[in-house]
Amino acid sequence: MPPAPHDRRCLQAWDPRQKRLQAVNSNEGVLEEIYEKKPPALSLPTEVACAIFEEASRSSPFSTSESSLPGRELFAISQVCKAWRDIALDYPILWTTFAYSDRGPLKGLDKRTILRRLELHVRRSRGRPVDLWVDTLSPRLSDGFYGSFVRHMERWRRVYFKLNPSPVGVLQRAVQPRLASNLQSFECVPNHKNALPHFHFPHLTLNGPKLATLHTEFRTLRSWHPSTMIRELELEQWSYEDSARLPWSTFLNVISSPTLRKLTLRALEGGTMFKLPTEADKARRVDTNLERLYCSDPRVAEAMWGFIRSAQCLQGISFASLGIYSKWNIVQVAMDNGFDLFNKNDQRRFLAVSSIFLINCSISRPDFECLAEMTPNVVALGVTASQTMDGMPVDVLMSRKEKIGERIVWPKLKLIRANIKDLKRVQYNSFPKFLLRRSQMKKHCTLSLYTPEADLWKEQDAEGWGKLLRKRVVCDAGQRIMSDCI
Amino acid sequence: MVLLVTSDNEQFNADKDVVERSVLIKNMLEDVGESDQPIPLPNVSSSVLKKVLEYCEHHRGEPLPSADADQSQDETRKRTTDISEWDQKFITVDQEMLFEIILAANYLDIKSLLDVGCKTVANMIKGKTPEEIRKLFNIVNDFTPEEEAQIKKENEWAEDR
Repeated sequence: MPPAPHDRRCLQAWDPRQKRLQAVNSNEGVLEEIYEKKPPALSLPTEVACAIFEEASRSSPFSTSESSLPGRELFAISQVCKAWRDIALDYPILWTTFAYSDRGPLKGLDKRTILRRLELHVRRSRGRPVDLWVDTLSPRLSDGFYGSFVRHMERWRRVYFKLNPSPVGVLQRAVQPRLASNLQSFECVPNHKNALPHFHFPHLTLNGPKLATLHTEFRTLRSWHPSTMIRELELEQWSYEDSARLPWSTFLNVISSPTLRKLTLRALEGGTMFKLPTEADKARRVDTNLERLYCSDPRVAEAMWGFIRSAQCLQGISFASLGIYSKWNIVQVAMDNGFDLFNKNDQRRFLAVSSIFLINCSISRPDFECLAEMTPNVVALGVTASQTMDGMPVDVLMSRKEKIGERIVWPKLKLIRANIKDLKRVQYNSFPKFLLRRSQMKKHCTLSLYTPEADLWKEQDAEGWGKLLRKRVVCDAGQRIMSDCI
Repeated sequence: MVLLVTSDNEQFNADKDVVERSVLIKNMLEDVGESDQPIPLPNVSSSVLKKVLEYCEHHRGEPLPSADADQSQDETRKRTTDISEWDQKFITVDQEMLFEIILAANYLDIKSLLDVGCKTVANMIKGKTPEEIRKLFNIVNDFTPEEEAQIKKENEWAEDR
């Protein structure tokens, strides 16, 4: 039965309303969907979010400058929303590095806040080994950090302290009763010469069974323990006092340590850490497994030539600041040790040495040639700072005129890393000649320059650079990395 | 050639050595053996798969991360903090696509692409305050005022400086 006219009018009016209602309903659905849809940043699986957070907060003070200390990003992330906070707090790896420096933007922050933050890291890293990096001039803060260091002794993996003052005995007390079971690397350097760290070496090494890297003031060696498992040792000199110098036998004891592979000696300008060798020291036979040596101590730099026979594992040597404050005698010392510069069959050479870096050194031509003779298998040579090559023509690197003809220096040399800005114009000009001559003699060698130096060369002689680049005798080594020299 | 079917039912033909940059697809192909059967990818849309295949095509032939890479993951990442120029250009997409690519890389198990995506988002986060991060990613601050006050107190170091 058809609807009555009144009903028909009602239905006609109802129909569009119904359609409108349906449209609203469907929009509501869309709105609901939009409302429920998370922003893409919150839709990531937890493991992906963790990877992003880790990347964002990644900055190790052990490998970067202190201007990029970690922490800021981590705390920003954990304040964004509940979901991100839960993820960040549930991911212990994010909290395994604590770094603090009171220079720059963080200066003046109260002690309690800083130490509370450290405790937060220890707690949130949930039992994992923690890296601790601290550089402060504040005595009160130093006390606080030492206190935390002692309290969580078993948690630390890498520790870097640059503190002031270093309270006498605190470290000794710290390491004596507790086991530093995770400690792999310990660096404790003073902030000024009156704040020398004092700790008894055996306690540190015996209570740190994994300790492989130690960096400290050289006088710690007074209690050097022969059973140490240290692989990398870095010593700094902070006092010129003669009375502070250690007996030469201490140096011999250190290099005889069977596990020691890398030794860094940073002496004060013109200073030395060790006394002159005694007759007994000279007579002593020393075996060393040392592979890398960085040395700015003139006494060690000269005396080391006496260990040619025993240093058969030595592969890399870096010399720094030598020959500036006093003459660096290589020829004389070599001859004193019975080395015959003109006897090519003399086996008393550093045959395993494949790389030599000269940083801010001054060396005469005969000494340089002697150095080359004593290290005939060098593949890489680094030359940085002006004094090194002062007054020396670059051809000293190439050959020596002898009665029997031209003799190539360092015949296996493949790479020279030079700081060309420090070289004199005449030397800069002679490099191409030297490099091309070596190539002609089938002793190809590449000059590797850092980007600023390479750019300078290109700016002055783009065509010449292009030509050398095509011949593969020059290359752009990229940005400078200081550790390249060590 | 391998036939891939996306969530919106689009089909893509790609070289085996290109698609095998995805560990998921590589394993599937190994399980199935020689077959003309299409591989369904229900979690990847066609627009995203197109981008993913562009990435795989560009990096075709490059060595894949080894099985023990995870052990030295920390060290490896430290060494490769930079994104290559091509990858940087490739990943310059709108935010929605960026997160879709990350999700697809995670699902398809393409580690290098996942790394590029994660580093890109990480770089967007670096140096920003929580409020700036919220604004950037359209995230709502869902802390109660009490919670916020507590967190701010806890983080005063990071916040004030």
